[in-house]
Amino acid sequence: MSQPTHVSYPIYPLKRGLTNNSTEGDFIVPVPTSTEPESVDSSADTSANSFVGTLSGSELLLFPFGGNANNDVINMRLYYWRRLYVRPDTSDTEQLWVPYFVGGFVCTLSSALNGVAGCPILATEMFADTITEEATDTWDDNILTVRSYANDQLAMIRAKTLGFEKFECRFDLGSGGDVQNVAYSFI
Amino acid sequence: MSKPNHIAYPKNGMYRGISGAITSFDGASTDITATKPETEQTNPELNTALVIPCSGSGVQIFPFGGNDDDDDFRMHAWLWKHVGTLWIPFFVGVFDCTLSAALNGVAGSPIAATEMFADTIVDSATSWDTNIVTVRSYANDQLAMIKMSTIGYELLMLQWELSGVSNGADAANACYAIY
Repeated sequence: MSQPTHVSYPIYPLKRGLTNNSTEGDFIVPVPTSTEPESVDSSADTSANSFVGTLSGSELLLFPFGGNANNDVINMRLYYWRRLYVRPDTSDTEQLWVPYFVGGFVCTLSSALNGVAGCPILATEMFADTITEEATDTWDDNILTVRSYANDQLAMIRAKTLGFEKFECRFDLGSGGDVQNVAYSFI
Repeated sequence: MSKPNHIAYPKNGMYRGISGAITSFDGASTDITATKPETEQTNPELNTALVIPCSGSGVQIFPFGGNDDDDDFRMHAWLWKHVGTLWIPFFVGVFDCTLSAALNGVAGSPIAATEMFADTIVDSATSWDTNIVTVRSYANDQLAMIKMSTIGYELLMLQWELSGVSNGADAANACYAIY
């Protein structure tokens, strides 16, 4: 009998979210809108930068990063967006984008997990090694799992995509953090 | 070596439930029946209920209504199977939904500016079966969601009680998405 064949699963690259790190200092809660959500990624004014990406695969992987020193804190909220139509059996022109709050995350950076000059993550930027629940949030374990080992090991958020169309990461600088961003991938 | 491409999986749209809204119904009941349950759009005499064909592994439900911030209503859910010509309802639970004015719609879109989503959903003493139902209810003007497993069932039915809680809404409805 021949050996079973290995199936080739798609490999999703890890990508940097914002080109220009966010310096947002207060969460803005999104509301339903008829305008398709897009990233705000300004280099001139980074104070309202947030990242919007298109969902793929069955799970979204997020790796928060930022600056500027070891144990600095950044806060991140994850939203999903879904487009609402009137009926499934009509060719609608009326649409409404509706935001769904997936979770809030307090992310502590590790200077041991910094990037490299000339790479997508710079030497002055560092990944989080610790991710905890935002104080007022209780994660839905059916959607979210978080790996947060600390001790200079990369922390990761896994979120089931559940048929949503887009995701958005919004930021709020925490203690010591001066810039914030996220890398993402899918499985 | 070229970078691997992201594969685009199908995205599931979200749809408005009833084209209008429940504005007067104040009690929910359902019985075993020889008539297949239908939504009001195709069967006007049953205009107290939204009936959705089940497909995929589950459905996400986003209740909405009117008319003010913190108005509330009660929503009942059943899953249906049929045996021969007989349709049998399985009771899922009752959901007390509180609306948020910050989550209102937009004129010219499927949800009008006068309609608003719920930011809070709590169990109305029915002890949801968490193997079937999970609810995300953060409040604070964040959209609330019911996630319901529908595997093995044919239809989902939602019914509403406008004055079922404490601060009666004047309209009730729900959006849904299959996943």
